[in-house]
Amino acid sequence: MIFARLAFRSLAARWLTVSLTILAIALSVVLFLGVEKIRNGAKASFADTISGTDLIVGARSGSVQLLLYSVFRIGNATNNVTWESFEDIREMPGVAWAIPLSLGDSHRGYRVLGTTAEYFDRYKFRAGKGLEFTSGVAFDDVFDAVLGADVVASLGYKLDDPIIVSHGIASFTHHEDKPFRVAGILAKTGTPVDRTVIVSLEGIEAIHVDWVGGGRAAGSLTAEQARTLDLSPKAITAAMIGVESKLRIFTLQRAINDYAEEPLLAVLPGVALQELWAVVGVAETALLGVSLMVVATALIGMVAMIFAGLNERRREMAILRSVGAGPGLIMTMLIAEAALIAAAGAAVGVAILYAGLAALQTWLDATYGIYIPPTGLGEREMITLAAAVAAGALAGLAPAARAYFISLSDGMSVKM
Amino acid sequence: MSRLNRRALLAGLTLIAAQPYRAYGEDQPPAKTVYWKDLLPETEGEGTFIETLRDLNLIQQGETLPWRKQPPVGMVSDFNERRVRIPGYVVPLTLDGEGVTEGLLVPYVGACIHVPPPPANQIVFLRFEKPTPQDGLWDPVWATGRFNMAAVETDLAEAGYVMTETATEPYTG
Repeated sequence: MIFARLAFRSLAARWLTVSLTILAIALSVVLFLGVEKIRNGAKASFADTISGTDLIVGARSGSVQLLLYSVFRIGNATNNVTWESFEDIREMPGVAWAIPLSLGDSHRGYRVLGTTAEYFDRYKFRAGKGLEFTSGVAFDDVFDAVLGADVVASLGYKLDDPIIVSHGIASFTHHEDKPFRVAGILAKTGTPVDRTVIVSLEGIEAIHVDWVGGGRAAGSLTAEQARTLDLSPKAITAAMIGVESKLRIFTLQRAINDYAEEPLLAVLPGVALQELWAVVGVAETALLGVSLMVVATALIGMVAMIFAGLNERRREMAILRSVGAGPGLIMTMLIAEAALIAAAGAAVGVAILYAGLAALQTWLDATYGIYIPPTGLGEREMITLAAAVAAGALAGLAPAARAYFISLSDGMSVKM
Repeated sequence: MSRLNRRALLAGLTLIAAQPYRAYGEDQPPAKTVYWKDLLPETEGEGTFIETLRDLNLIQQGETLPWRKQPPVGMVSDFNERRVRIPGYVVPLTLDGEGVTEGLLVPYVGACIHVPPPPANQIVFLRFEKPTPQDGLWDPVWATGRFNMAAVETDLAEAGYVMTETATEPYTG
């Protein structure tokens, strides 16, 4: 094993150039592993967002669009669903439960969702976890609001604080004449629910009751006056449906799609998610290809570094030859050097990755809603790392062969 | 390093390579390959119903059957409580971050919209043994597991087929 010790000592003697090469390989490993982790984390975050809902119903648009705006709060609906249609669907045989969703308002960048109190029991995520309250309760009064964890964390609301809702996703038009009251705060879920303000359907009706044609009418009603009116909802944006028998899910979906009174669309969330990934899959493959190229580039840099040093090391090799090292040992030593650099680069890369993950995880979650669990390296990642180290060792074969022939021709003395 | 260390190193590497293989499926009886037509009962009825309605001009081209009036379908009980493998496409019903935990196995995906969805005796409700990542809807798989009629399982009230302890592998022919 003398060649291993020699390789290590030789590298340590040239620590400046060697550490730069290790850094280059480490950064390429961080890029590759980081892309994999973010990709899988994003996929898992999306898949974990909704669970236990069999169908999502909305106005007829596209299945991916419906999933995105109803569950992920990305994008907008094209049309509403009338309350009569919702009630018809709720009465259909085979429907176990139906939760209406009403979107279209916001609060300082966070979306406002109008729904019934049953939402808090039926919405599940991450394989069956339910929503939990850290303080307060679900709504009781028309103007009660429940806040998600991120809304509270960034805007600093407490129970019983007033909260003014604005019209539209981004707007200057606020419903300041009818403030809501914070009635409950939800625990962190890692889903878009954290970035939502949840109110009752009656609350959404109340704030729009004196609006005419997209704008506020003169002589608007106060909150107290609005309470006395009939606030039953006229239209909703989407609905979450649970079925009694999963074997009948296709017939129920077809019945909703064929509903003659209104153009509706019913999607299975799992299927729509798969369609979304198919669209995104092309970008993922491109990103993977880029990160592999970066790893290859870093390894080529390492080979260049070893080649560059060969000429200066001819005396070193002559000395080694003179104390009994054969040319084969010289070659093995150089391959070992390359493998050591690659392995050190991989190790440093993994360390940087986890340090970066620890630092950025909460920021990524708060800003993009992508939760990357701090799990260890998966099997595929370990295999890729091992392949990178093996590739490094293999790449070291070229300068090693060159050194073999140099030391043969130079013999045991070299005139420099 | 002395020669003894080299021997120890080589011995260690050999031990790592000599991991006992995990025997897949050796403790399970071999699964019977079943095709979709085997799940249809011998009596006729399902295929002719839509033609009869069209002949009587009760439905026009492109109109699907009112779903409440779908005829009750016959089920086949030959494969109850047996390990079976069926080729098909998995429609995911319950997904979590790790993969699909429940789904429906269907004989086709993406059929034209003027044909009704598959009847109950051509759908199998799958419960996966462990969450299985699924790459796409369009990849056919062999689904292997314990087959049964849904009436025998407890929480499904309707007639249908169920497969528990399901594992899938890509279909290559």
